[in-house]
Amino acid sequence: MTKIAVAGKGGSGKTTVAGVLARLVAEEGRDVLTVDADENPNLGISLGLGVEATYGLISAREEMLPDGPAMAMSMEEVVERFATQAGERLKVVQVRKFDHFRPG
Amino acid sequence: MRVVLLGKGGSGKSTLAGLLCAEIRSRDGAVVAFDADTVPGLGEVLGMPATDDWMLAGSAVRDAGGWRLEGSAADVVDRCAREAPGGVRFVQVGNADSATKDFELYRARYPDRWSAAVAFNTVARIYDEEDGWAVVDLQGGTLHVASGMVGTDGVALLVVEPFAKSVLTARRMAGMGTWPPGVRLAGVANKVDSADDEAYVRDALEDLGVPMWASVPLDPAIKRAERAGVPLVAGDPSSPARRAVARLVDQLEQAGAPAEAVRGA
Repeated sequence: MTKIAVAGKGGSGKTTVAGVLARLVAEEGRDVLTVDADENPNLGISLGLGVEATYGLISAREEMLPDGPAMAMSMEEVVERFATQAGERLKVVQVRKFDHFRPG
Repeated sequence: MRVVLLGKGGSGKSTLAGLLCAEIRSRDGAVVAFDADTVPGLGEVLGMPATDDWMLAGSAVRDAGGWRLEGSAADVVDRCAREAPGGVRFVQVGNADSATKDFELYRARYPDRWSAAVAFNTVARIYDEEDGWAVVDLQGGTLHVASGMVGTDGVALLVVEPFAKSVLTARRMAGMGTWPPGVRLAGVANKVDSADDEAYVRDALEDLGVPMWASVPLDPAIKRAERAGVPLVAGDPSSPARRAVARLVDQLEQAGAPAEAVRGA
């Protein structure tokens, strides 16, 4: 397995690069799992999921409560449960998002 | 007048904060600029020597009741703010972009930074200048907005580029829940390159029920100044972006009138 992390300043184009890269690799016939680790996740847009589907993606971390059964999940189970198909051979897992005011 | 800038990473919050400071100073207004980002960048925009300092170290103290501010927010700012070129007073939280990124996990090891972060967050949430300006530049993305860094008073400027990702970020921010009644949320279209760009952001903001207060053009002077290390306070006041920000300051000044008067408008 090849693992690629994309890093850089806000707005520098990490998500766009990641999205295009993932699609190109998938088009070559390889299975690609993308992980959107941004707390303001927009990768779905660059993968071509569309704005509404991106907005509606569930976040794995929010579902995985401390001490809950999710903590005992294997990586394969996490992908099985939380990955969304974003194209042929292409999946996305969104880690978390902060989209509600939270106390404290 | 308290102005908080929020928006996606790279949308131009710090640049707009710098332009606001430049415009306010050119009108002889007093301004304190806060960089809430733990990868600080506003200082450079304002012409400060690059520093990773936790400027408010020691400004929060811990007692039986938990952490509290040592003195009032104004005391802390008077004690800790540094003067940037052009007379802007500047405060930053500090730089966590190092091997100690997760210093939150090691509060006991980095009490000075923890104290600085607590003090900064407290001050940046409440600071206001009755006869001047507080300009608060939040970290890009939704975390700071979700955790209440906008505060409970003033104007929150939602900075939006003409891109779907920027608009989606704005949608998450505007839709966080019930905004504090004392905060007026207004949009600023930034890096606008055409009438289409402006209409795209305006329509998106309208869908969110957020008025658009300014449209700031993509301005090559900004990039040139940034590369050359010229602070925005020393920039050309007749550049297109600066002129747009001057109109925004006019609008903010009007909004600074008593709340009842503007709410009915």
